[in-house]
Amino acid sequence: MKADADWQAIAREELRFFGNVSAAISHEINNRIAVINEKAGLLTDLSVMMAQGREIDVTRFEVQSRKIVEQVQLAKQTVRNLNRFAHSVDVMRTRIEAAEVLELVVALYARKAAAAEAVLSISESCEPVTITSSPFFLETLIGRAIDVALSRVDDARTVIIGVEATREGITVQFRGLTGLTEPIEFPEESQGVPALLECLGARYRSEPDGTALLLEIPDHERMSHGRTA
Amino acid sequence: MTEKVLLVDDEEEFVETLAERMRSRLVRCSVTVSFCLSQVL
Repeated sequence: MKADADWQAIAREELRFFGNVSAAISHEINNRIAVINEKAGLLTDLSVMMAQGREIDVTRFEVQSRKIVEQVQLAKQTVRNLNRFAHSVDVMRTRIEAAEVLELVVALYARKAAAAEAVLSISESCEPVTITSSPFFLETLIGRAIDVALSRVDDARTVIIGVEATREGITVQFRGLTGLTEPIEFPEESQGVPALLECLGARYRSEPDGTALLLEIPDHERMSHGRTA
Repeated sequence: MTEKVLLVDDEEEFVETLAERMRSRLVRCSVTVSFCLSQVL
């Protein structure tokens, strides 16, 4: 049975992760609003200039209108991602499509990756794999792995993320790194990660050449079947 | 007017649009997209 201190560490870690992601998403939504606001202002400027008798190319209106629609679509996608992320705390354990969780966390981390002048790319050879686990815990561990990967990304500046089935569950791979060594070190604010790993029976390890971070997560359904067999 | 304004932001579409509005007001400006102002200055 886990000690209270472990659960507190996990709760703090989860709250921090939720806060980190929420802050990034709110910034992203704010960016879309700021762009739409400026473009609406530009359309007003153009209308005023036209009313004053200046010759304005009508395609400028068309271009800006189209770009406002694009920004609205981007904002809607961001809100959809936030909604999916927020609902991932609804169930403690469920059957999860690993690739879908990866896609969501990669989308949530796009801004952070851009700030680190890197790109997150999901491997084309990513297998369709399902696992029984905690969606929110899984997202946290993938997110924290991306944090480490972004601090160790090599000169190509692309973290290639893939997932494969293993006998025990799944392994999520983060490739394109350099100089990664064990034990994997997490930022000061992520000190609840070890307790979270223990809770899921998961672990991080690096490839011997230091170019990849691997996150191994057991399938809780298989584990429980194993115990009852 | 000889002053020139440098617009810096992490959102390209935002600074480009702002620059377009400023230029229409005859303000000379250039744009840099960056997540970190200290990298620009």
